[in-house]
Amino acid sequence: MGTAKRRARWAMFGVLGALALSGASRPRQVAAHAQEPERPAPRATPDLPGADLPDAPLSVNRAPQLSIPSGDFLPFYRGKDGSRPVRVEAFRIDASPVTREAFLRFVTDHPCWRRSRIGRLFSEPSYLGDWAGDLDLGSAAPSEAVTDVAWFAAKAYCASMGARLPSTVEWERALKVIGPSFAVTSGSATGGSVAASLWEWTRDFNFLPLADGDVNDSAANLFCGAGARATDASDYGAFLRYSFRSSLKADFALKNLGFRCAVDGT
Amino acid sequence: MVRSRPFFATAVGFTILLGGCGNRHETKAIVSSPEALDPVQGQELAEMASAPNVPPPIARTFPTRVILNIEIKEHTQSLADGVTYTYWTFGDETPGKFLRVREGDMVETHLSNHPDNTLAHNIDFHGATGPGGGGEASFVAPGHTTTFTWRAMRPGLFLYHCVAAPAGLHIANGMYGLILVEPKGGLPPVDKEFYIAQGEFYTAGKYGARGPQAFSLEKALREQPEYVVFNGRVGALMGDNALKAKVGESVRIYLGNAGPSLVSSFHIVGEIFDAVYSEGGIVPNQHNVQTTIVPVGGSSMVEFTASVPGEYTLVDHSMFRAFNKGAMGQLRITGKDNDMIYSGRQGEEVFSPGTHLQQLLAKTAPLDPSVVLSTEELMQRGQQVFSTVCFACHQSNGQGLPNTFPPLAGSDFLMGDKDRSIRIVLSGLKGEITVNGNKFHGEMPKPPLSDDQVASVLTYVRNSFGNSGEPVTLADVLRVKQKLEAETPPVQQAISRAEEE
Repeated sequence: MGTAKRRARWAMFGVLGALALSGASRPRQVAAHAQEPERPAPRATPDLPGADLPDAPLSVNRAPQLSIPSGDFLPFYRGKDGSRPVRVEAFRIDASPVTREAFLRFVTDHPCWRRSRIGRLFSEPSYLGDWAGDLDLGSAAPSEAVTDVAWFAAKAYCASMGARLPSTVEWERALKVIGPSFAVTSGSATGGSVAASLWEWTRDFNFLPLADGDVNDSAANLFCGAGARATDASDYGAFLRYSFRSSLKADFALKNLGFRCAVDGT
Repeated sequence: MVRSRPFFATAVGFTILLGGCGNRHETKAIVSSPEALDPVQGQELAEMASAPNVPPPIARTFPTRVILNIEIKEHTQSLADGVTYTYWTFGDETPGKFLRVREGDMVETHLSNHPDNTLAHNIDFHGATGPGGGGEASFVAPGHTTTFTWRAMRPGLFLYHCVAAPAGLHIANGMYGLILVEPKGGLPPVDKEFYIAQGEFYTAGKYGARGPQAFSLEKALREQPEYVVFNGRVGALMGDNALKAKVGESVRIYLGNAGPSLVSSFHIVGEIFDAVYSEGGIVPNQHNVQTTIVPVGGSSMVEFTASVPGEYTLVDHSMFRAFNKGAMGQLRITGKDNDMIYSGRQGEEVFSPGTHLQQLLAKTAPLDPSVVLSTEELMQRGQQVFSTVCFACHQSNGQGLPNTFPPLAGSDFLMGDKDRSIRIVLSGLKGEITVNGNKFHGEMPKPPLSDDQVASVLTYVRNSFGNSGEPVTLADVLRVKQKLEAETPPVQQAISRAEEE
C-alpha cells in the first residue's frame, strides 16, 4: 500500500473523528461499547481543532490506524499437514504502539489498572516500573511507547478503546503488508530481517500458529527443531519474534515489551 | 621451525599418562546411572574463571549440589581494534566462564536474562542428559530467571551454548563457553591450565572494517565468517595477553569450538602434544600429536611440556583464517635455553648455486685489498655491479619507482651522508626513510658484495644520473665496517664471520 493512500485513509478517520466529537465528551462510554461487534468511531486526532477530550488529563487521543485488507497468510511454522496459508480477515491496527500518555489516560480513567492497584495475578511487580507513581510518568517520555505492561493490562486497555489485541497472525500479516517500518526495529542483529527493539503483545502470544491452521503451545519447537519446521528458515527475524513471544507469560511486564490495538473490518 | 622433543619431558609425560590410564581411566564405563554415583552431600557455589584462566582442580571427594548463577547480557564490545559488535554473552564475556564440576554433582542452574536485554535466551549444556541439554527448561525472557538442575553423570570437557531459535545466531553472537566435568579423582595434575574457545563472527563489513558492525545473515548462511577468533576477539591471546609458561612446566589447554560453522585444526607452532584427549573425552588416547581437530560443538584437551624458551604461535592450521581472520594466539615460554633440544640459528650464508647473478659478478671479482683503484676503475667496476645487482629496484637511470623504490638520481639521502650509504650497502636497510621529501617503507636486503665492490658501486651511483660526489674508496668501506662491528653484539659478529667464511 502506498504511503499517500494510507495518509488519505488516516485523513478520513480524522473527519470521522471530528463527526464523532459529541461522543468524545463522554469518553467512558467507549469502554462500555467494548463488547459490541461494531467498533465505535475513532477518537479525534490531536491535530484537529477541539480534539481535546474535556476530562482528559493529556491531549492524546486514538492513534492513527493502518488498514490491512483480508488475504492469505502463510504461518512461519509448518503444521502436521505441511505449509498451508490461513485466511486473515480484514482488520485495522494502530500505526504505532500505544504511548505512555495514552496509557496514563487509561489508568486515570480505570484506577484498578494503576501500579499500586493491579493484582499480583495480573502483573509482576515491574508493572509500569519506569513511572514515578500511579499517575506520574516521571522522566519517562510521554510520547514513547508504554512498556513494562502486562498482557492483562494491554488487553484491558484495548477493550477500553473498543478494540482488542491483534492475534499473532494478524501482527505478522501487518508486518508483511506494511513492511519493516511497521515494527520498531533494530535490523543489525539479524542481518536486516525484522527483529524488534520494542516487542509487542499479541492476543495469543504463547501459542504457535501453525501452517495447517492448528496451534501448538510447545516451546520445544523453537529450539533446534525450529529450523526444520519454519516455512522460511532464512527469516532470522521471524525466529527471534516467535522465540521471544513464546518466552512470555501473561503477567510479565518487561522493559522492551509494549503493544498496540486492532479492530475488525476495513 | 623444526625442532626435536626433549627426551626427558617425553619420558616424564609417558610416566604420568601411563599411571593415569591404569588408575583412573581404564575402567571408566560408558554407562552411568544415578545409583552408581556417590550420594550428593552439601552444596557450594560453582567454580568458574574467565578465559584464558581455569579454576583450580576440585579437591572434593564426593558429589555435591553446585549452585551455578549465570547472567545473560547483550552489549557492545570490541571485536578487533576499532571494530565493535553487539555481543550476546553468558556473564558479560565471550566465551562465557570456564565452569568446573565433579562427576556426580547436581548442577542447580539459575539463568538470568538481564532486564535491558532484547531477546529470549536459554542454555544447552552438552554435559547434561535431558531434552535440549536444558534448553527448554532454561528458556527465559528478559528480566527473568529460570532454574533447572542437571546431574553431571559423565566426566569430560563439554561445550555450553544458547540454543534459542535461531541457535546459529545466538552462538555466532557469542553465547558459548566450556564446562569441565572432572572424573572421580580428577585429571592428572599439571603445572598450568588454560582455556581457549574458538568462535566465528559474521560481520557485514569485511575483516578489519572499522566502526560498529552488523550481523550478516548472508555470510552466515554461506558459512563464511569474516572473523575466526580465539576467546572472543582478535588478539585475545596476543602480546600482553599471550599465554605464559616456564621451561619445565607441564601445560594442559582446554579447547572448545563453538563454530557455528568451521571445524578447528588446533596447532601450536613448535610444540608437539604429549597427549591429546580427543573430542574432550577423559582418556588421553593419543600421544605425540602435532594438530588436533576440534569439532564444532565439541572440545579437545591437549597436554605438553614447555621445554624451549621463546614465542610460540597458536593457530587454527587452516592458515588463511589464522592470517586473515584472527585465528591466532601466542604462548610465551621463559626459562633457560637448552641446546640439546634446540640450538636457535647457528649461521646464515649466501646460497646461489651457479646463478646468473654470480656469473655476472665474477667479472668484478674481489681484488686484493692492497690494490688501490683509480676513480675511473671504480666507476667502471661499479657500473657492472649496479647493472647486475641494483638496477632491478633503483631502475637503470637511478630514478627508482615512486612510493616503492627510492631514487638514487638527485637523491639527498644518498648524497647527504657518504658513511651512511656505505653502511646501508654493507648491511642492508629496513624501515622508513625520507628521500627528497618522499617517504619509503621498503626493505633493501644486504647485497652479496665484496668490500671493493661496495666501494665501486657507491662511487658509481654517487657520480652518475646527474650526481656528483667524492669517490668511495676501499679504505672508506673498511673504516665503516670496523665501526659497524664495534656496534654489533658478539653473537651477530660470529654469525657474520661464519657467513664470510
